[in-house]
Amino acid sequence: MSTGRDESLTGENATDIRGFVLEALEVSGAVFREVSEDLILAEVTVEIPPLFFDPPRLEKQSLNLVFDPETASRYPGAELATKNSPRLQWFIAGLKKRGRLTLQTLVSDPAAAGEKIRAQCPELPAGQPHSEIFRPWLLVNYVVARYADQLWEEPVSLGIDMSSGEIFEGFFALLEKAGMKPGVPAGQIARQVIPLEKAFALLRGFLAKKIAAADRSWYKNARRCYEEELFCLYRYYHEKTGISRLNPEFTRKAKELYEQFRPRIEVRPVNFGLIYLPEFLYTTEKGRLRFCPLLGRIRTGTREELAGGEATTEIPEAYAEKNPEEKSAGESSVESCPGKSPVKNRPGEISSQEPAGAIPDEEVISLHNGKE
Amino acid sequence: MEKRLAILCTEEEFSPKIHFFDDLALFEEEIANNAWDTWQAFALRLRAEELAQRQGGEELLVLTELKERWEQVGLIPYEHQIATVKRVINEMHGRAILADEVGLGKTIEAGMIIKEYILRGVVKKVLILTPASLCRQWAAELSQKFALYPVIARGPMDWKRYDLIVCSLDTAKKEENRRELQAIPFDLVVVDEAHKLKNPATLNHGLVSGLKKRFFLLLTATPFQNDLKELFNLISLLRPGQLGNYRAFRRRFMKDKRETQNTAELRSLLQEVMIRNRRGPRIQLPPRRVATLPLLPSPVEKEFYQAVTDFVRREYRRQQQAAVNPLTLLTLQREVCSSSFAAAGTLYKLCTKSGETDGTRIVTLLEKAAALKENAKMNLVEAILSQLEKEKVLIFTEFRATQQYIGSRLQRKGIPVLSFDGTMSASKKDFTIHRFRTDPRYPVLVCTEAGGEGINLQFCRTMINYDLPWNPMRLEQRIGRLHRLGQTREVYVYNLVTTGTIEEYLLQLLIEKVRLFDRVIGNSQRIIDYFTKSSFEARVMEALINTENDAELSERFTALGAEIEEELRRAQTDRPAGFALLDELSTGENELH
Repeated sequence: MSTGRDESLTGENATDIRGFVLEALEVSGAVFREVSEDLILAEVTVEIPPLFFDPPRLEKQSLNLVFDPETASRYPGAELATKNSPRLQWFIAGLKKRGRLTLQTLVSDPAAAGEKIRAQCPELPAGQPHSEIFRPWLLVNYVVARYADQLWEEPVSLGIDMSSGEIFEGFFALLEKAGMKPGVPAGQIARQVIPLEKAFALLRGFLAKKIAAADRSWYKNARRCYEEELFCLYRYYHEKTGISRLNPEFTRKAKELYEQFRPRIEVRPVNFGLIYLPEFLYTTEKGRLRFCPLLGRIRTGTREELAGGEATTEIPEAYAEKNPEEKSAGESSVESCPGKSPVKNRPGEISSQEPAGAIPDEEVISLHNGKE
Repeated sequence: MEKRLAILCTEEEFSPKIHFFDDLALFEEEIANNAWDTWQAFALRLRAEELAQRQGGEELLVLTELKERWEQVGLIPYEHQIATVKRVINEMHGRAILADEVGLGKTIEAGMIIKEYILRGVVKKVLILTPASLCRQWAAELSQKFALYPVIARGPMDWKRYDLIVCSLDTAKKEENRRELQAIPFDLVVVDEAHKLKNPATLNHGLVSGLKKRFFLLLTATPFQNDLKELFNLISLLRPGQLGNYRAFRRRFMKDKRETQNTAELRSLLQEVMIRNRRGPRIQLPPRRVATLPLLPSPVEKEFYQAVTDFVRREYRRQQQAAVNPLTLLTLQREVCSSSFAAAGTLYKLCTKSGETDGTRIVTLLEKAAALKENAKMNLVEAILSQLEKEKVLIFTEFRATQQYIGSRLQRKGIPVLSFDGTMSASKKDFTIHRFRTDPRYPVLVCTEAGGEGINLQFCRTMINYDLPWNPMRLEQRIGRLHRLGQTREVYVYNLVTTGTIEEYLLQLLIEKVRLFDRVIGNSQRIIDYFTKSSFEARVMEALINTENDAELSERFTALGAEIEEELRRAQTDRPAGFALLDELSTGENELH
């Protein structure tokens, strides 16, 4: 997945769902007891809709939850929380009010960072003096939905460096493995160069390019179906008469078919995070090194270029047309984190590795519907 | 053609447009409001999104989503139903004719498809068009079995306001509604009893053809009856061009209006858009066990029955001069067969309307009815119930007055009774069924026919026909409440019949000629039509009116029995080749072996 989660997290087996429900109970402050591997007893607070009570009335409700259909019969009256079950949907709906925005700082560990950088730069002596600076990143988790006569949804997590405009895919998965603490860091903070509006535009550009490069078989299939249906319709209305004068019924039904198979993509953000990532600055004979432990990257540059990120004021206009792995303006070199190979996508998923397509990202005039 | 079609589906037309819903202003507002949450809640929110993620594909979400509900309401999704839903969604792109034989669960299949599409996130706005008599039943089925809560639409205010609408075809085709409906883009349109759309010249057809719809389901057990053109029209409504235009269809596939040619090719084309599941050895309902329990009326009851029957005969024969409407007389005769209490209600109403001469006679009858404090039939009911310990029992009657009498008599005996009738609200009906199913304190449900329409009581296997409807199809409907898919035990039907009444002859006819209790009748539209369109009740009444004594009445019923036998024989044998075509559609996987 593009969030970088592994199979055990995205699979929806009983253990996953149990873990999710436990966390949801914890986050909501509910009282609960894990009676056994199969059964959880909980007391939750439920809001009676304000349609009946203003202010909304809160009531306690007891839940007996089981997660495995095989063992459910052992607990009469218990509710089964499985994929698509109403009870799981209830938890999911409840969480829509939470976790929309977060402000976090990655926990800094200078010793571990020192070891990491020396692994990449053995010439750097141990105990080399360094300074620490926190760079602001915007994390946005999206859902990309592809519609034709069916719907496929896929999560995509992007992080954008608000000082340089660099975009990193699978950002949440990286952060999830690291330690986080809430709030703004106490140390030096790199200046945010990119306004939010620009950051949003860059992210859009990145997504548009990624989508253009993705597997197109889904909408090619939709087109094939549409053409088959259209030809069938033609046989009925125009086989004898030809198309010198289009039957209005034909045109109307053709539009109906187009609406059924018309492919479209919706990109919806799920939540946003402002994340501060620590970086370590080293001064060497050759110049300055900047090391980001989370991304495992070393950047080199002149003193001016690397001074607190101030040098990255020039944001390339067409950044979105660049691969995130490519250089950013103001940086003399970018090296990939060792062992960090490009994310392998599963068939049918959006992949930035495939050749770019020609999906227009501006508005398109539809012959069926006028301007979209 | 190529040029024009190319214009209609250019590369650009089918390049997906990207719509971003990242609202910067909203994001900035949230920051300004300091709406920061913990890292745990943030991560959990993302996890929730992943769990709710929707994917097209082979797996049906509806099966897990509704598993618990179906266990509660006793619905078992059958293999043929699941296969149908998968095929409609994955192969037929949501446009299909569901043409299962009567009783194999077309409504369940349609409900599963609607729910599946909603769960997959591709359908929101749904319109279900049915005959007026089925609107409530559809609404009830969708809410009970699919946790879908449609609105039964009445007028122009409803179309845009609600996303899930059930509406009668008659309401929808009214000019003011039709215009509004045809302007709304529906994601899914479902038409029940779709054979009503077989004629393109009708308003029904015009309405449905003109609706904007992405997915489209037509439900009918009889895609055509007499003319292959009906089949062509229905298929062309769903997918114009599937069978070419009518001229091409007639030339290639019609020998005459009922006989086909190039049948294999036609069958193959039909299979692309139509699914027809048929009964076969795979689906065998458990047997019906029938006990006919004759009972002797008390002398006073007998006298009352005879007096009312004489009155009805005399009035009926007076025709134009009659003081009482023939339909009322028919009802009165049916009521007197049911109970004195049912007849008393109609007699009272007649008293208040009639002139002096007639009034006197009617008052005399009403006095006789009032004198009857008990009916002998109830003794028999009590005897049956005493032998059926712990068994849930459904008692059917046609009349509310009889229902009330049965209820009060059983209450007096200390047997708690639940009542179910057509005047109850949908929620009260749901509650009553739930209580009957789950509460062991209530072993008996007394149900009127109007109330019982569309309810499923497979958990119960014993029914008592306190009286008999004069239409065999209605009796079949009663039995069908218990004896349907999902019933796993033998079904026991007790028929109470008072000797010396017309019910005695009628029951004999149903048992011997219609063989109603041996099998499911009504698989064939011909039989359904025979018993409904020709007003079978009126034929029974005619037999009563035009005879003077039991011997003549018996003779009349024998003739009627012969006619029914002949009709049933024709339904089996006199099927045009077109019907064979439909039957063969279901060979192989659709045949329920």
